[in-house]
Amino acid sequence: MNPLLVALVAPILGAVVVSFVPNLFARLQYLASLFASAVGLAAVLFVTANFSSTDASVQFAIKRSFTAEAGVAFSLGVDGISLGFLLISALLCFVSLLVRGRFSSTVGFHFQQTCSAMLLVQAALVGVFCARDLIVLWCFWALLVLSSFLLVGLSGGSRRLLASSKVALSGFASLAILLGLFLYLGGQAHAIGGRFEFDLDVITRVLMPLSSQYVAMGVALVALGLALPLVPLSGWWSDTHAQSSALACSVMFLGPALYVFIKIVVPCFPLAAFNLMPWVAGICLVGSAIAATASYFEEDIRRRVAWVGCVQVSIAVVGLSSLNAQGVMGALLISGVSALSLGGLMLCLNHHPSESSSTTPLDAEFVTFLPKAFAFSSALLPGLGGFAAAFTAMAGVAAADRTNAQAGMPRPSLEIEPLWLVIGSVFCAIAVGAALVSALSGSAGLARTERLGLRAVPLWALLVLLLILGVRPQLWYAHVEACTNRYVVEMQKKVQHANASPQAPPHLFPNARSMLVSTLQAKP
Amino acid sequence: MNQAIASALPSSMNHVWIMVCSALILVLGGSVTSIPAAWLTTLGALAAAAAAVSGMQTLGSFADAQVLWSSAVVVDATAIATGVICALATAAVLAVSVKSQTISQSAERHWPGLVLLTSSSLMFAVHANHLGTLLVATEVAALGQVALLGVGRAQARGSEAASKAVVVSAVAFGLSAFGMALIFGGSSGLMDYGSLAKSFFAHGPSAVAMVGAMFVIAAFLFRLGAAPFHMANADLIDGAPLPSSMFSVSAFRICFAVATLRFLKLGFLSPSVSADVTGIAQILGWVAALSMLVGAVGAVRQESLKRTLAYLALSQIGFSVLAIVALSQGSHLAVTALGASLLGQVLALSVAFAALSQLSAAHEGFPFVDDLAGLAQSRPLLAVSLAVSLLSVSGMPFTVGFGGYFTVLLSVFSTPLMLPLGCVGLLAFLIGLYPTLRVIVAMYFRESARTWPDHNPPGAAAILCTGTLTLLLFGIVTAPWLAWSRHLVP
Repeated sequence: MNPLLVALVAPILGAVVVSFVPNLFARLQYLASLFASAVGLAAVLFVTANFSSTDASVQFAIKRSFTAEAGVAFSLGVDGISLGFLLISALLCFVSLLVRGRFSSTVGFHFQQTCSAMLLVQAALVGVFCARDLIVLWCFWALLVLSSFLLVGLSGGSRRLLASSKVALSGFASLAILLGLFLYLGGQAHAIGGRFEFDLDVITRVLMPLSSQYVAMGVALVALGLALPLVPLSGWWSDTHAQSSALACSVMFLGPALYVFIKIVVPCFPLAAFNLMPWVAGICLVGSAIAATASYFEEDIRRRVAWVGCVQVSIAVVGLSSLNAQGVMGALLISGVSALSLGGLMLCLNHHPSESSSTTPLDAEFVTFLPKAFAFSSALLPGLGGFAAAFTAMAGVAAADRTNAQAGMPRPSLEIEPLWLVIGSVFCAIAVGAALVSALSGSAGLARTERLGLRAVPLWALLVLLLILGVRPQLWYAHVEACTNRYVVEMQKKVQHANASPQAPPHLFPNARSMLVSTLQAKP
Repeated sequence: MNQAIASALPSSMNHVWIMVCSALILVLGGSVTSIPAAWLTTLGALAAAAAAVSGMQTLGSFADAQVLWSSAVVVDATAIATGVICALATAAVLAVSVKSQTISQSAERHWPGLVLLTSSSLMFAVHANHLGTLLVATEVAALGQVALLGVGRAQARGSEAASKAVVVSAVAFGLSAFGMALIFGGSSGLMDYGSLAKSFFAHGPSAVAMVGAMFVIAAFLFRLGAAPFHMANADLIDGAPLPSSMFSVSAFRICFAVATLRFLKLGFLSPSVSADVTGIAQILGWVAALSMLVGAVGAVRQESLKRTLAYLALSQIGFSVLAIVALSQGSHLAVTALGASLLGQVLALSVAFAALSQLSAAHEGFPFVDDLAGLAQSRPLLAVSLAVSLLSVSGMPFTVGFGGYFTVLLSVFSTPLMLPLGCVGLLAFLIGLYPTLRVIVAMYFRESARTWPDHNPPGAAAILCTGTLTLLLFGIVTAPWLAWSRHLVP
């Protein structure tokens, strides 16, 4: 059996089983959830162990026709870019359940539903990161939004209903826009090749006129800006973190928006991405500078952590804007490290009155090493993953001009001096670092963490992972490099191709039609 | 003699004969007071299920369309498939209404016969191949619906619903009759579908016939409750007893939708008549946009669960009409989209109303959204059923509703002229999620000291479990039912 299928199905089956276990057996519910989550994680670890890092193509692929007429296929697979997302999502979900899923007042009255929702989140994340079909990806993302909505609403602060509504509103608004975009892309494939196609490998060959690419890219940016979130579309983000339980917060930092941006938006709209990305990165940085400043003055540490998440996403987008291998790899590592460190930090915090009955709220002097270490990693300090990631991304940005020139690429039409992007990113990193460290240093007295006892063991494991990534980031890059290189080369080819044929009517790639038709004909 | 009977009552319409005969038997049985009402209702449900099985068998071996009774009716795959769904929906309605406390005691005994008679008329409306047949069948079915709407225990609201249904039915009848007269006059005295289609495809409909067609379409939209003819629809569904409401949004709706489509395909939707989004297609485009938006926005504002469902059902009708517009533009996928949309909404709404019937039984009345607080704790399976059915009505993935939404939107987005309508569809999808999430919030997030009595009429419980599993199964395994749903489009 394909291990990806196991990683997907095990949490779903677990959620169903947990739903049928009576509430009297809360311990059994918890153990069943842990077991299902662990099986999913084991399957992902198996995939990671057997993943060929030199192979840039999709591995562990599985494909079954869903609706042939509409061109949708249940297609799963993993490549270098998705592997990291997949591993971290499975790991984080399992650790969150292990640390915070204990049956206590942490999740209280709705324990059964919380466990089921958490397992659904894990399945949805695995589905999103493995999907090789746009509609399948969209469906899993919708499942993720729905289960996150449940997770946030089931436990947390007194205003958690409002927070869950915001999760649903932003999530589904983003999804509705993306559905329109995906359907439009499917329609374009139909117009060129005579049949609907949503396969990722095929759809990225549908090359549209430049004007359409700009519009589609703008629409995608709005949708993904809502989901990532990017300032100024991030109004829901900090409120949600302030009111959610630690369990819900911990898994929200690895949203699929950045992944979709890298895997779908940039390859589908290459010219628009190439020309717009520097400005997009610039706007993101301005927004994140505001977010970083706001985070420094926030009274609530959860809000601070949420804003830090926003800033880190922006820095990842800056890295991506270089569109060279270093920048993309750095962006990928930032998103992974950010999810691990901010998720770990959230799991250490205990804030809500509803969550505190079984725990010991601590004064400043009790703030232990563990949350501080996660905060340092989030603050991009050297040695804990974050620094290595940011450094790689910024190196990519600084080298963007040179790598573009070497590859024979033109200059982007909306250009920003890379140095400004690097300076902006460094400023934001310092600001969020200061905000986090001051929150946990005790002087502000804002932070509350709890003694986790044995439950801290998995968090220590996360910290060790962050340390390894900080000291030996090559371990990550080795898995990502082949795929990233191919990704960048394909992108450069598309841009060069268009640049070499400027006489082509409205910037339509001259052989776009033949490329797609031959691909479609080659398919059974 | 046998041959004469066989040609007059062909075996390909066995499902209709089973319904008609059962209806007559149950009408007679209703006057025998020694037979318990629950038995009659159960018998009716079994008869409807048998009709569905018979229809499925016929469909499996069916070859060519047959025109019967001097071109008055046609037997084709569409009519049989629609009959199967109608019979299944009728069986579900009757199963839910066994020991239902929402139907008045005086009407309980006549209820199953009345439901089967109305279903039989609906089936004839789908088989209609002549304007006269269509007029008579739809009117008889509409009268049946009026009677069904007025038999609730809540007398005042039931009477109000029934009186509004009478008005709607009268207006629709007037429009239909007038429109058909104009078509008759505008097409030199043609009434049967074959001759009308031949004439329209050869020369195009005359202006008088087009005006007549618009009257007939308006009548159908009135009966389907599409915007802007939706004013009374929510009141009808809200005031009627639950099984009647369920019947209105399932059997009644799918049969009228297919009958409308058969009428439209006479030539009023052909590309030669509306090569662009113009003419009737454009009017239908406005109807679709209005229905989707009014339904979604209307559902947001409702407190009553039944009214919420009524408005969501209106939004669904909008999506079906949108598929008809895509069909008029020559989208090949629109056939599947329309079938999937109709089948998906009938399934999802039926399960939602079945869940509601259990709630009403426990709640002693039709619940409001806020009354659902704590339902997930005391009745988890009922909460799951209601959540899944509402998510399906809203078109969420991994439920049957998504198949319809997705194929309709895809067929729209593949037609450049219809992109604005597609955007309206997406907006309606987004707005329509709010009422569903609101119900989920009430059931799962809010706590309540109240305990919901475990009142489970066996029929309703069976329908609920089977229905919920079907919604999820069809949401995951989509290809077979999407292919089957093409039968629903003539």
